[in-house]
Amino acid sequence: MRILRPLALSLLSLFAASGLGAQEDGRPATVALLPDAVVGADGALEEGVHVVVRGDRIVAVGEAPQGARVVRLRGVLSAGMVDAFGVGSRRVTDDAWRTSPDLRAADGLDLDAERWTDLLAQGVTTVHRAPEPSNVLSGWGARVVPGDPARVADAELGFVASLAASWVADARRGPSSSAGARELLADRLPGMASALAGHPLFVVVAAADEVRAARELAAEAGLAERLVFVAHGDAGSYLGAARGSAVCLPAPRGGSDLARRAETWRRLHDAGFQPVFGTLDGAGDPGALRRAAQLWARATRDPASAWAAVTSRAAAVLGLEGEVGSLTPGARADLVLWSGHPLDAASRVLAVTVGGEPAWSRLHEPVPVRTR
Amino acid sequence: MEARSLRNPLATLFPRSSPPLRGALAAAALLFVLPAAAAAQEDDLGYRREYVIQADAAWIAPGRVLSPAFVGVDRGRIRWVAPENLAANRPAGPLGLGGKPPRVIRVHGTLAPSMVDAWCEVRPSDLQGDRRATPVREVADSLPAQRPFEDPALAAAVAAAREAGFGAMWVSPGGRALRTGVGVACTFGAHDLPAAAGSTGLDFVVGVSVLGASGSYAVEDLADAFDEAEGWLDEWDDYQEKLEKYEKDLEKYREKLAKWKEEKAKHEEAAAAGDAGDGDGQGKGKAKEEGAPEPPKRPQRPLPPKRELARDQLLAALRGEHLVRVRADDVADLRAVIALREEYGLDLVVLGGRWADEVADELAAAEIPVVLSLRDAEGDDFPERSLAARFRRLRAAGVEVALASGGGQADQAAALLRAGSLVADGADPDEVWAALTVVPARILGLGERHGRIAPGASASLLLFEGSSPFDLSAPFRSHKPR
Repeated sequence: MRILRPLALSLLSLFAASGLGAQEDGRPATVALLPDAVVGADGALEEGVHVVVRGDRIVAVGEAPQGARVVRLRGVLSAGMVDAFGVGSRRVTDDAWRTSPDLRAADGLDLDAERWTDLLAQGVTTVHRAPEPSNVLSGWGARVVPGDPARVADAELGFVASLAASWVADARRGPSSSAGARELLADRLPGMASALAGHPLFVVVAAADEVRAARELAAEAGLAERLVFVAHGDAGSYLGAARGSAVCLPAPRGGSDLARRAETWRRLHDAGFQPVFGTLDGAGDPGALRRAAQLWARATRDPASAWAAVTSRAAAVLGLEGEVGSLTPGARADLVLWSGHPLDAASRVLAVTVGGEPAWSRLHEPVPVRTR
Repeated sequence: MEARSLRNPLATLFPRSSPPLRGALAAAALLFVLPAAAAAQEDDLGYRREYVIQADAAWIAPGRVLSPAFVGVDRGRIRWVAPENLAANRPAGPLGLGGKPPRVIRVHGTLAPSMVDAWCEVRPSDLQGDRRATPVREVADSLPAQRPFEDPALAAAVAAAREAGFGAMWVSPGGRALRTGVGVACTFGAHDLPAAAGSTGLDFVVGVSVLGASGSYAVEDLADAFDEAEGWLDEWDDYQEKLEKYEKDLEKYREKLAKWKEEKAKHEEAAAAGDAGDGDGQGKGKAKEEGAPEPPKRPQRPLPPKRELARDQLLAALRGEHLVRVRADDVADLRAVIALREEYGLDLVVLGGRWADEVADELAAAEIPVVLSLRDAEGDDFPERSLAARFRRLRAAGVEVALASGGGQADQAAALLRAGSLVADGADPDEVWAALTVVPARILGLGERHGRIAPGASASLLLFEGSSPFDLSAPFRSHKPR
């Protein structure tokens, strides 16, 4: 049942329009948000939790501090989702050649694209925009904040390399085989080690030998700690070799694609994999990330893992732990108000704040109120 | 021995057993035969067990919740639904047999009926990828027997459909042609094989969007086919008239024949008398020929109009024995389909109906249900053309709308997710749930067996712990009867 409740509307507008970062005597005001429930770290709903925001940060989670303005919100509040590896539909450069270690995805970003708003409307507040992994050394990925007018928060978030034969093994452009790509990477990676230190190293793989090679090369360069495998192709056939490392699975493009992977995912989960998701080939679909989490939840019957995959775990993989992807004191106030649990296919985003500022809201539509 | 075996077949089977043993064997046989006979009144799908499911709640029908819920299941069917265990104090049967109360399975969460897929691409292996589509094939002929390992690929597909939350589906012959054959509504058996259970129906595809350039004429061809079938009916009526006349003529002929026989006999007598007196061998034959009465002419039996399987199927549809399912998207095609309904009174169902909301009022007036594909839930449509918006407009006009996977296993697996996104986009949750259960069940002629939790309905159920089956933040599974 959907009932238009004027109360809910007014609360929503307060949430969206007043701005949590409003100034009081030159100091940012402290606002305690009290939604119907928040999505906890384990993906379950917790009621009666205040999320206290000052300026662009979450300062406390739990009780409201004395004197703070309490804003009651009708809906479920969660941290914004994090896309761990988004490849844009636009090629950053149209004629890359073997390696492009200096290429930065941030430089080729379409800052004004409507796509950013679409992502916000789906609850995605942080995107790792990677360069297309068509070169052995593909370049730098950027941290993009869709709700921030400046968009790019970090132009060198992580480095992307690729060993996936289907992408890089093209004699016209570079090595003619995966083995050739491996040699090229072995040749160049040690020289870049100092530049890469402290950044995650994403390696796109599509076969077990590529996984092993990437692991050896990263270990030699002292980057093993920061290695993240981006699984391309049929992950079920080779990803066993990546056990123990961080793994990013492509968010399926559409539902059909998504269901085909369900069995693979179930097995990966049984084998102990706790992946993150990237919209590797879901470029046109802003809802791909959430759907990936939903299907992971359904396939593995592990909603906690599914929610972490698109929030806290993704943030950790990007080196942004505690900054985004969780409702913890000190984190950026990237908050999403949902009509229900984010993994409930029937719920939708009502409003989004980024860094405490209202970034998007569904004000023009009636607020759904669940009665069941 | 011979005579006894006729009286008592057991004597043949166990010729050397003593009479008391024979009696015991007969009694034992009866014990097996009686329950089997009782079960045989319903089609046997291989489900055997009797048990009770106790859940926190049950969505017995769209918008109706029972809490707590006890569901009595026997041989794959729901026997009773109540807020308490009706089978707990069942009186003992004769000799204390059969009186043990059935096992209670306690589950957490809410029970819901399994969904009904009114349009999907799951079909028996021998129809899969059949490129030489004969337009008259009948799916029912291809359904495997209810035995394990009959059609493993199909069984796997049905198991996946169950997992995705479906308990019944329409199995269509498939193919991209105007006429694809006769599909059938199926429920699922214990060996994960579909069994014909509801209506049968002719599956048609019209429109450019599916058939390409030839599609623009398809809808006219469809109307022509029904026209021709009706023309044949006129021919049949003519034939019946002619047949009647023939019967009358035959009667007259028989009378004439009798008369002729008499006359002929007289004539022969007279001729014989004449012969006797005359004694002239040569004049004998001549006299007979000259004086003999002419035999009457036998009337010709009229030929029935030629029969053809393709036409017979159309005629069955005209008699209301088949549904007529037409996949049509464009407004012009939909209008032509509505005209078909008005002209022939067919039991029509529209599949696809991408632009059906534009003719929603006409569809509602003609009482033609529409089956929308959940595949359209994802896409780059404008918001006003989104599946949720189209669904709402059709419902607002009073059109009966079912939501179906519209595809294969993968689309079935994503169906709940996509239906949930419809709710997120503003569709009424109860209406969406009805469009996945009771509405398709009714359209497919499975209204008694699927779509709700009620006595006599299939015990294929869903169990969810979240707020609805669309909620993936909590466990969800499907229950296959035992």
